[in-house]
Amino acid sequence: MLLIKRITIENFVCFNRLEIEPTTNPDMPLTVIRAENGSGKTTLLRAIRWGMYGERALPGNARNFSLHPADWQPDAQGIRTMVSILFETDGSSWQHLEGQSKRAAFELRRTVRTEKTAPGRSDRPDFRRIDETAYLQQQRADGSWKTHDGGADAVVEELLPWELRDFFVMDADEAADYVGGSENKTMDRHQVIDKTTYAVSALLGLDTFRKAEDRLKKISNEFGRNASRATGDRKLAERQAELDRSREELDRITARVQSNVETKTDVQDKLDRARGRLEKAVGNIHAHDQLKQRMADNRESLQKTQQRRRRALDELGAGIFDISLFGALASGEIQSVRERLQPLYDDGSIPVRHVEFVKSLLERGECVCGQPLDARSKFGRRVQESVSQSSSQKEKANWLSDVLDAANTLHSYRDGMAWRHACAEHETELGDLDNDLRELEAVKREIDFKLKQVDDQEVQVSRDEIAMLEKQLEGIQRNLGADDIEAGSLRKKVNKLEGTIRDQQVRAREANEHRRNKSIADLLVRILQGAYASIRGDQVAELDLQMNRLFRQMASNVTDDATAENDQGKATLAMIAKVGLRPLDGDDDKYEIFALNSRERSMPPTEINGASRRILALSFVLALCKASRTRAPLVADSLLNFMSGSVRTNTLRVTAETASQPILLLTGSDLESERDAELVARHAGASYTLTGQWQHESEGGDVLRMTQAGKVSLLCHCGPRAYCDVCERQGQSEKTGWTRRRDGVHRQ
Amino acid sequence: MNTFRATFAGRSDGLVLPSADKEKIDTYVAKQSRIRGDVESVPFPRQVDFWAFSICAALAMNLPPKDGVISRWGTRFIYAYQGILDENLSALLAVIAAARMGHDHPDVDNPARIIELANRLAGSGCPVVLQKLSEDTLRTTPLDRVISFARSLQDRDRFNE
Repeated sequence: MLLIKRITIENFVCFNRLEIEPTTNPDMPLTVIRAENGSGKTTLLRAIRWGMYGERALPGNARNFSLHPADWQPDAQGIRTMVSILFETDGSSWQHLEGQSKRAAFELRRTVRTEKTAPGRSDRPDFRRIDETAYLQQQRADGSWKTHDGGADAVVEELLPWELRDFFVMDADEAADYVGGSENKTMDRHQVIDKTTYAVSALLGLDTFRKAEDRLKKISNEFGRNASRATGDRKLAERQAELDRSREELDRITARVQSNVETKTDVQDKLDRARGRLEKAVGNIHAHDQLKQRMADNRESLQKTQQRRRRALDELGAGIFDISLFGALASGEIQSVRERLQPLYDDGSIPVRHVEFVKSLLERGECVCGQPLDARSKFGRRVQESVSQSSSQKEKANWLSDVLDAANTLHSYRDGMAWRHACAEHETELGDLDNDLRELEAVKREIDFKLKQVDDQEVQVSRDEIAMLEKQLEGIQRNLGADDIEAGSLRKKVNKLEGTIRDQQVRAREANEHRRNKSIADLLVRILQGAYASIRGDQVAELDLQMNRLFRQMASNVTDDATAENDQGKATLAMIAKVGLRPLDGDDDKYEIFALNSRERSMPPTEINGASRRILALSFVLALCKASRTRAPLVADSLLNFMSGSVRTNTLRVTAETASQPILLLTGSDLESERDAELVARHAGASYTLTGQWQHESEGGDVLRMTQAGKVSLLCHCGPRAYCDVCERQGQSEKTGWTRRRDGVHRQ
Repeated sequence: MNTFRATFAGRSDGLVLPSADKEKIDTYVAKQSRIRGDVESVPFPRQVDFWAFSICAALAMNLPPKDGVISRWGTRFIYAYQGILDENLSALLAVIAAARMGHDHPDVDNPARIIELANRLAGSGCPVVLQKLSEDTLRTTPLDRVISFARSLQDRDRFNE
């Protein structure tokens, strides 16, 4: 739709005069401008942006930014800075160029005059810019030029809106804002979402639907009001006033909901980052919890095992005063007692069994042999006497009998085997328990070591933050819920009032025409809403698909995803499983770019390394241009920074093959590899080299043949591996693959 | 069977251990019987357990009962009537008395004499037990040492048989 044919720059910082003619050949669409750091790449980008957008394109405090050359010698006339952009368009859709059915050429020219001022306060510049003008002229069929009526800035805003500058004149550092900022910059998530949403809506044309829908709603409400007024009914007018109030209240709640949704996205984002930090610190949250749980389990097992060990020790210790041991140690005495007392037992001496028997015979008066045992007989008296003597020994005999019983019982312990077995059993158990304890202690040491690796304080801080954010999120969710209920009831009220009013309007003949109009408008709103939802769904799905496809192409076969030193620990390309664009949770009209890891966890930009972020932003820009069928130039600076190896090659190839008119500002090191040089040779229809002439040897640079004394940058037509008198650097002639241009010196 | 325990519990005779060894004995006997400390370093829960073990050690080593007036070398740590002697230990003391005095000795069933004999045997076994307990080896505890000593006493006993 729009192709740049020529860029002319005069008196802009380090450029006295510069003219670049990017290629418009569709087969070789790539224009490469090679320049070492400090040679004016970024200044060139700024010049193009200034040419398009004026002062607001300048960085920082634009008033203090000097556009004029550093070696300018002030005079009364001042100095005139000019940027001219000659472009070609087919004029197919944009309203300011409507009617341009054929291909047409335009020139956008912006000029400004800089004057010297008297030195003032130290923070004020000693110059001022005046008479900034921008005008657009169109080429007639006969080749002459005429001023375009649309006004230069309005046309530029229509063609290349300021908010979409990164789609056309891309500073890769700034383009990374679409994915949350470049390496050292962090943006609020809702700002990123707003920026992304604007780009998606504007380039896919979705904002047109929204604007039309809002306009139709207003018209419909106006018709409703007119219809009510037309009935002349006072009650109806009151209801109409109530309806208006309810609508206003509903709008307020909707705005509040919107604000809460934005806050929610920011809090959710902070929550994701905090969770990411925690995950980075402890591997993952569950692993830390599991580690702590294992520690608690280990502590419990240790306590239980120690208790069992104490019990086993008690049992072992009890053995040293157990009768089974004593019985074995006193076995000699026990055996001796048994040997002495058993015969006494056998002959009835212990216990005293015979005496009792003889006593019973004495009572009966007759012996077993038949002799009388009374006191009158001599035999009887002798027996009586013996019994009396034996009775005095009865207690001792019974005692000895009990001693024999005890000795017999204790005799069972004589070999000590019962005690030895019990001891051995307890000792085996103790050995096993000691082994268990050693193992548990080893596990404890291992868990301790792992836990010490994690800074508990850092984890706690993250956890507290997560808890606080979760609480905050819960509060917002509650507010959203409450607002939803309130809005629901208001909507019901509005619907009811609308219904009532509509009913009364139906009765009012005069209102028929307005009602009909309102119905048509309402119908149109519904049709528009349906169409919008459908188109939005399709286009966003296509964009999501394209984005992931382009990202995969740039990340394919990546084995050398090297990262800068300050990116250590951040996710590399290989860790990103999917990227895309998704509607915001709770607001389908807003979008954000996402990246998921292989576990489908959303990765906040702060977790992704610089190269991956750049590729993510680039895949979004290219996919959106593709999905929206936008054909416009892509002037890109710092595109390959932080990239190396196959990532750089892939990015270069995809950009060259996808963008309509890629104009890439690259350094020599970006083109060092043979692969990249071949790629550029295949796709580049135009190539230039920009050289800072002040970079001669005495000032640290190595331009061999300085052609100009001032602080200017010169442009030559040297390709990626060519050099001339203007751009030759020390040692370049010895490099293989590099050639001196046949046409020699290119001077300006 | 006679309840030997009741016989001893009815007496006021005291159980005695050598006064000279009191401090060492306290090292291996828990201060309060109900609170067992570290069994490995304090293997005996009560003094009576140490006393009984000393008697059995003396028997196993065929040591003669300690001579002399008991009150001169011994300290009474508990009265027998407090029921500290359980049935098994009481029966064992009676058996030991019968073996050492002879069954026909007039005091073979005299609890006071039986306790006296036991005290004298404890008096001769105690120093040996204390020496074994205090043998300084790095990797063994007093409990290990007393168990090892008990094992060696049994082996010695069988060898003698």
